[in-house]
Amino acid sequence: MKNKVLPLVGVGIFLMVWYIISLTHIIKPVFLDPPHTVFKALLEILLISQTWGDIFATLYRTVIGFSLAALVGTAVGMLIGYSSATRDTMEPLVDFLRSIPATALLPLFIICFGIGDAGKIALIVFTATLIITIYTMLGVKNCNKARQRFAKTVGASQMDIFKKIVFFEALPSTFAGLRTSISLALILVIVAEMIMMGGKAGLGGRIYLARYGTDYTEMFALIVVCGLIGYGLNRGFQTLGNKFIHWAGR
Amino acid sequence: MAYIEIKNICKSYPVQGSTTEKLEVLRNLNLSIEKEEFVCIFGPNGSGKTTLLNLVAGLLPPDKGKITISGNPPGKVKSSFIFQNFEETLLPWRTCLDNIAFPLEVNEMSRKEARKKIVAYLDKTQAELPLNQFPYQLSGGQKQLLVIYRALIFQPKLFLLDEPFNALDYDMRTSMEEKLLSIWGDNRITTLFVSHEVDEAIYLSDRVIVLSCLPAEIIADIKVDLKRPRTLEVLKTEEYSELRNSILSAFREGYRR
Repeated sequence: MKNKVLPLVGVGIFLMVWYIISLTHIIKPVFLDPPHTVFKALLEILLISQTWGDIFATLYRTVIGFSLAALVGTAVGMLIGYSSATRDTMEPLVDFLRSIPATALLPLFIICFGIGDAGKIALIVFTATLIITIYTMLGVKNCNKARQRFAKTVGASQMDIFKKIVFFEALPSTFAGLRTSISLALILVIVAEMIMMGGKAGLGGRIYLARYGTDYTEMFALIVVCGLIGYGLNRGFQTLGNKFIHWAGR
Repeated sequence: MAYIEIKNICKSYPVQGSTTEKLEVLRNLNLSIEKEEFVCIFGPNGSGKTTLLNLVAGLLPPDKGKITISGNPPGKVKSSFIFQNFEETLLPWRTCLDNIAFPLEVNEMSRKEARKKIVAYLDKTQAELPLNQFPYQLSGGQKQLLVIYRALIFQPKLFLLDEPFNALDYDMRTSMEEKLLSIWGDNRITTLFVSHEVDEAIYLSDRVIVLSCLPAEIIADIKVDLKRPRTLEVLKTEEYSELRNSILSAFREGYRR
């Protein structure tokens, strides 16, 4: 059994350091409240329906963008990963595109898709698709040749080998790509919401506005909300992974 | 004409870092194998045993010569190959049952039907396999057994095994050999078994082919006339020691060349 107390000790240490910093005024109290003030503000904003609307907007953009990217990235990665010719053709290009810092493309996406939901979602789809494609491609490329050789000797067709072996063998790598990109998708949505102020503010927009109105307590409370969402998504994915690819690496 | 005809087979591999030099593995090899025969290929390490098996399976093309299996080119006949690294050929995302189902599925049987057939077959042979567990949950011997059942479930015409029991300790090894013989006895599939263990070779086979060092040639073709079904008791008989001596002296001769 994993020790259930130790993780709490870590959190406790963090909160203590936070207290010490705010009580000793190393950082001016105007900018940094002690934890209990922030948590009180957190409870207060969670009682306002507008906050839930913003949480929903942020989640909606993240999930829609990520889901589209997961579908496209997995399919494209599997297809171009399977033959060495398509892999060699596409790999440098995909690698280059995903190396562009996504935020550098923000202005371009504003021009093409506007400052509403479409622009934000498009930014995620672009970035996450490339990452998932790369991971899936590598998964396909690194398939164990012994399994395919075995399949060939018992008379499996190329299609069977692809559907019943290569696809599954690539899954752990695809999954690593999905996990990386769900975290990145959340980051991008928050940044996009600070800059593309169309539609609902979302958590990013709210954080930006809180700072603008110098309401630092609310700003920290919103940051905690973002952190909890990110943590939840990551843990959710971990659980999914343990369930569906329990066999990976064994 | 014999069931498997191997005629004047030559095979070389390119040597790494050289464009002209080649490693000659098989030179003018001739071999005929009858239907339902269990043949062991015995020879020193690196004597082209695996290459020969790959050629018969159609996984490699010969440089020269011809192989036919009941008149067909290799690769056209339903065959099963147990590789040295057989553990890597298991499908870890499938349960034992569905691993065994794989060859049936790719030969046009639905997974449901395949499962039914396997359960019925394994009930008959009283196999001790945890069918609903995943390969990573099995012991070494169970994995081995799983691979053998998977290889034979779709009734192949040809069964090729490449030193499958290498990783096992003596006890496991003899028990796997016994199990293999009993499963083989029920099916009587033409079998080529590569081994570098003389006892294993005699105990299992109808014929032992002794290969020399490279380029490999057949040094001896020794018939094993021990009665079947065999038990390990056979290792104590006079006939057995005579066979063992003649195989080993051929083996030593092959080593010297």
